Amino acid sequence: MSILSPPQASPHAAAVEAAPETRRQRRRGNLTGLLFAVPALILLGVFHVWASVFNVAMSLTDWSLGGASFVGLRNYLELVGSAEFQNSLVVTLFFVVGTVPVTILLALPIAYALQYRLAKFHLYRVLVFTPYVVPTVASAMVWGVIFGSNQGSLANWILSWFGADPRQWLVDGTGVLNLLLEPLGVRLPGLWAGPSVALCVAMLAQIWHMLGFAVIVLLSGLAGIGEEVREAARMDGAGEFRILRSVVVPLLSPTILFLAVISLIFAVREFNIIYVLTGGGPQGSSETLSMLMVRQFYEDNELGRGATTGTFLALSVAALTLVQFWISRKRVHYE
Amino acid sequence: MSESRTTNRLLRRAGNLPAHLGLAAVCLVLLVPLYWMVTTALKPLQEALATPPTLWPHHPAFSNFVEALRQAPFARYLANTVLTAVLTGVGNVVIGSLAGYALARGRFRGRGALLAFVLASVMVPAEATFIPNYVTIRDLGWYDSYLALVMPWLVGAFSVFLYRQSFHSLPESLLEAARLDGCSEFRMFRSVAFPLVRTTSLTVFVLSFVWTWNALLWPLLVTSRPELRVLQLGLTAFQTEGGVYVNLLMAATVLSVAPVLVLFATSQRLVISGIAEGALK
Repeated sequence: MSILSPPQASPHAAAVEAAPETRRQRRRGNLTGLLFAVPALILLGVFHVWASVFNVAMSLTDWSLGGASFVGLRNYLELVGSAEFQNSLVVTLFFVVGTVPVTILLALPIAYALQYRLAKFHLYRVLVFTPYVVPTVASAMVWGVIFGSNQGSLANWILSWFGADPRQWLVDGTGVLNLLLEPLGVRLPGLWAGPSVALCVAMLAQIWHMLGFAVIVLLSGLAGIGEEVREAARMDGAGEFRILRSVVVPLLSPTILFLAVISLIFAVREFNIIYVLTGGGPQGSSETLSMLMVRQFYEDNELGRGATTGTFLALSVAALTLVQFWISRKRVHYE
Repeated sequence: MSESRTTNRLLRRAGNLPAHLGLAAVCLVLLVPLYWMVTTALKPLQEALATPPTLWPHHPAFSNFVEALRQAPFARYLANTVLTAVLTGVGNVVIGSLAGYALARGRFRGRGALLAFVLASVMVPAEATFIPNYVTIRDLGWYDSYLALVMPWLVGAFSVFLYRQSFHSLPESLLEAARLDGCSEFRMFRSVAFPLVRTTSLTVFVLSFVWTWNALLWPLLVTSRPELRVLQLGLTAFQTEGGVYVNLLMAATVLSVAPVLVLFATSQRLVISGIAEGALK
């Protein structure tokens, strides 16, 4: 069932129509329905619908603390051409690509083992899911301490086992590709060097946060796959890994696709983890779209520009949401 | 015979050993940050910054919690957070169920508008409405008040949508019986339909509660008085104001996480199924 499907005539509607209805009754039903809907109409109307329209309107002005005048598409043209916006698009892409596939790949074997091997051991599910319950501000605080720049932080201590020097993780803007290529004496310029060390710490925190969620979604998909299919594969002499790869994953693909899209949406929207860990720095190397929007608004007081970035954010999430609707409709058809 | 059955069972258990080992390892790794949080919170400052780090607090300092509470009013932050989270949870259940019921069951003027509003709001992420909503809140004179924290999130499109789905799938016969008994539409909603969608109410409540509990950006934008700080905001303020006292920062973090973990531990089945259901609908 999708929200996009047209309202279906329920049997109840037919029954009502069959009974001769007086005009007064109908008017009263009309009024009751409206009364039920009024609070939601007002709140959604003001804080979501009007806000979205207002956001686009603001993006067409140079709104700041001093006042606002209409500037047409200037904000959009300037933003698209600006280095900070292009940077934030690439950083968002790094963050998404560096977290979503890793999370799903890690979650698959865990969900598989939980469903088919250890279904009776509920404690594992609880433990795996626990990180997702921890508020992201708190978990980012903890990751910040683990990746502290002091010599005795957990991350630097682990580095010292390998004889490496302590790093200042969260203020390290070096691209990870440059770290790998350092021994060869190669240096890639700017964003070609890949996500910065600081951004990678944020990605790690995001993966830790999302893993349990991914496992739970995959488990619900696995619950729909019958035992016979696996049994048949086993009869044919397939090993456990082969069954996972050639039988379970293909059958699970609608769930995996759905999980991928919903994780993409979460990753694009993530704010807390990056804000607490790096604040967007160093040198903008972890400034995603939403971080850029907040900086333009909160620090630079450029409401018009912030709204413009907000429109881009809204458009990308809306596109992903449409894909998600489309998939969840497909999913129902598979079942 | 019973002997062979026992052997079978033992064999099967042995077959599960790799899975057990693997998952135990995964769980251990996943719990490292939480372990580090608690142990750092218990270390005196000198130990918390020691090189190499101690793996458990050699001189546990429970006074860290007292000190953290002395430096910032976390009880107040907690009360603010609980208040806003409960209000948005209840708001979403009440307003969302009414609207969802109207959408699923009735034909009324404004139905099309509501459906369009719900659709539009589901598509636009809340973050993208923060700047215009900030202006709206300011113009309403609600800046720096509980109203600013709660009002915009009192009902989400997603809650309306979830309720619409559940009410739509209720068996018609139940409601028809009530209607023949001369029940008013509201009575029917309250006494028949609403109690039947209890699981949806739980899901909606949990999702909205968690959303508000975790919110940082919105409270940051619309409040400035320390008395109005919610936990997440109070924690980030503590981080910037508290400087390098990692042990106190972790003690404060433990205090902010503890209620959530206790709640989760007591109702984990409910929370897990609620979040899974919310994601899958």
